[in-house]
Amino acid sequence: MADSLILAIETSTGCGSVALTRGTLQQGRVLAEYTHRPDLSHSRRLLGSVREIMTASRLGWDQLDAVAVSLGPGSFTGLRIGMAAAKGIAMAAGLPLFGVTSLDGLACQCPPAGCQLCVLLDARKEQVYGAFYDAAAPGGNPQRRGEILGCTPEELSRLISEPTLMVGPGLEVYQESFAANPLITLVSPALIQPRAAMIGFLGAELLAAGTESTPAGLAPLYVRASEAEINLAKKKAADAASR
Amino acid sequence: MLILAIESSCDDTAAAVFDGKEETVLANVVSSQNEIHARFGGIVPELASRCHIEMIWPVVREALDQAGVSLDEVQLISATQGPGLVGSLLVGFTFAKSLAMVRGLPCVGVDHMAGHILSSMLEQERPEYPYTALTVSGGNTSLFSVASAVEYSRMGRTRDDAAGEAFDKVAKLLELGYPGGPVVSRLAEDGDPKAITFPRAWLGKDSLDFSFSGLKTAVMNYVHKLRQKGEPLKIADICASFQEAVVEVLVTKTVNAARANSHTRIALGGGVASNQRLRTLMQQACDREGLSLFVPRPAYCTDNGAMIALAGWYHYQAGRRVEWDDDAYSRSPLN
Amino acid sequence: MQPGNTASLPGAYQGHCKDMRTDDNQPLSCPGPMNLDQLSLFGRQLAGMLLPGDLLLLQGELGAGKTTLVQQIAQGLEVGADQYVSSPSYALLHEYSGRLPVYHMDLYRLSGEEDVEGAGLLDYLNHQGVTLIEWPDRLGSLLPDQYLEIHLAMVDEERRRLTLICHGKSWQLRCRELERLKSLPGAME
Repeated sequence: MADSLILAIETSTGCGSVALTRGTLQQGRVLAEYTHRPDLSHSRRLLGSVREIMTASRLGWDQLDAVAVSLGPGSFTGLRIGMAAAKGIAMAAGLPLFGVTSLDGLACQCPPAGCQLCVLLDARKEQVYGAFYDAAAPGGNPQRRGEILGCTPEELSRLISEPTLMVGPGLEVYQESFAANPLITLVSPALIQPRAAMIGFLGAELLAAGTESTPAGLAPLYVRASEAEINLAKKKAADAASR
Repeated sequence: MLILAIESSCDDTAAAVFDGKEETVLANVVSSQNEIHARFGGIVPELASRCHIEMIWPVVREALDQAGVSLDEVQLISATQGPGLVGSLLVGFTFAKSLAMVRGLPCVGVDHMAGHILSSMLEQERPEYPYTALTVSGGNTSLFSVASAVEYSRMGRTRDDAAGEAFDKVAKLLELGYPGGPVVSRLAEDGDPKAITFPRAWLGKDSLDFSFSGLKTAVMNYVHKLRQKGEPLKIADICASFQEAVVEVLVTKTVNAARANSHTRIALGGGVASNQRLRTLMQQACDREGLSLFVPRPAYCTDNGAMIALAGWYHYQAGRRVEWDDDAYSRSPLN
Repeated sequence: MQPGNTASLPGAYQGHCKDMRTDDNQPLSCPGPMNLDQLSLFGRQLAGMLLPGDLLLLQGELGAGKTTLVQQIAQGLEVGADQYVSSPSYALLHEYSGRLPVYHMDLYRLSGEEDVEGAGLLDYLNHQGVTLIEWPDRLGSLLPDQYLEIHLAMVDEERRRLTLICHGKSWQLRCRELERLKSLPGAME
């Protein structure tokens, strides 16, 4: 199944992205990808885009191996629409369905930088969703370290004690909050945006790993701001333990 | 033709399988049903509308299973397109469109109000067109002139609270829990509907609009006064008198609407249509006026997929279809 | 949460208490009930000062007149008479189109912020319309910093006591303007 054909949907931010991928991030390719950026309702373009890439790629539904969808965190309404579409397609085509964390998809877009990675999305109310990743080993994907955090950019910045490459659409709004921290290297948010192709590659890995598909109960990831303190506490404890 | 219908406009996720040719309901499943919770792991969500995305798959599966139908046999998909919470509607509507797209099936978007207007057509004894429809629930109280399966014009609607909402709010006031509409009706059975004269909002001689906010306030003032005086509340009498005020206005205006339309048939729809006092007084009024009354069973009164299947089937025959990029809407063009 | 006011700008206006100041959202209590006609006029006049993105929180018990006030604000925002402003208790949200889009929410049936987000209501807090929320305590930590808090309390059947609290810079800057609304003189006392 290393060469599996995946239809992927990513709607965690203000844009909708759909892709057809073959194989995994390390040994795969993007067959088609359509990303719609304007602030249009997700629903208005999503299914039309799915149909377009299927038609353009001259592929039938029966040729797909699985459907992959972003679990978020992100815009809850956007995620629900993407997930409703993914579930409908999976049920109609009799395909397995896999959920992938939006931040993991973003992390996969970064070339190995030899330092830790911090990925962030805007969580509104002056907060971000963030996660840390170990620098990718040669031939491997970046590995997430710990829970997804929901906190203010300042809190996130205070957690950084080693050279860090910071990426993601969260920087569109909060770039300035990190400018003063000399350990942080910022990557233009225009470069790293949610892409369905990454969700497809990571979905292919779940399929190859024999992960069970449980489409019925799949739901968007909640990272509540109220949980921020708990998650932060966990991270601090984990960091202390690893030292 | 077998129709699969999906409804997710408010709290419940619902699905139904309907045989269009025979006009029979093969399955009608609602997410608050026990079967679904068993399938869902026994979790009863605090607020169902939060859970449409987790409910949609099990509810559709359960409907197909109960009907003994596989997805391969379904020939038409119908889904509620509006009105309601767009975030909730989009779960059912997008799921439905995706099913149709992959399966190469036609898909129809239905107005939730049309479902309630037509719901009495799900029964053996169904009204012929034209008829006057009263749709009355927690969210709506409206009168329609129904010319055909796809043509309806609104004659009146609530200017503030819906009738069902007034029941719920009075229940809250009397500390009977929320939603407490059914509790109020049950307690009213032991009360005297003439014990207290609560106001009826007629809104002008010929108006077919409704208003229940003033009635709610009148009940509140009555209760506050008694509480201030430290007098005991005759809960059953308050419930009965309140219910009488709501029902009397509903019955009178519905009969007036039928008369204005020169209709000989009245149909009810919506959750409050299963209120026993409303059914009784409406029947009496219809008998007096020489009108025929059609009321669906309670399962077709509350939000359900069967009515969306039926409305979808009619809309399909009238040539309506959705495009893949069509959006859900929050306000009904009918209301 | 932001402090309710600054030293130079009174954060709360209540009845005719112009000399009073509020600290950190401490509502003031003083006499000055309005009759329902005055309340309606206030609603329409308030509508005239509303800007895209404004958030109004409505507090008050059942029957205090929250929905009535929303109807008047909607009228002031040029929501057409064909769009009846009815209670959103059941549907959670009703949308209307006027001079600005109007989003009217009633969160009574929700248990807390997870429900608010889950029902997809959070998106409306960022819209460029006017959002009016009944039972706003359900917002929890989702509450933005800039909003006008409106308390309605029943004095008797015909009269209500109105309390306004300005939160965030956007409303503190409009506090004086609120005070000058003709519907809010101390004349009712």
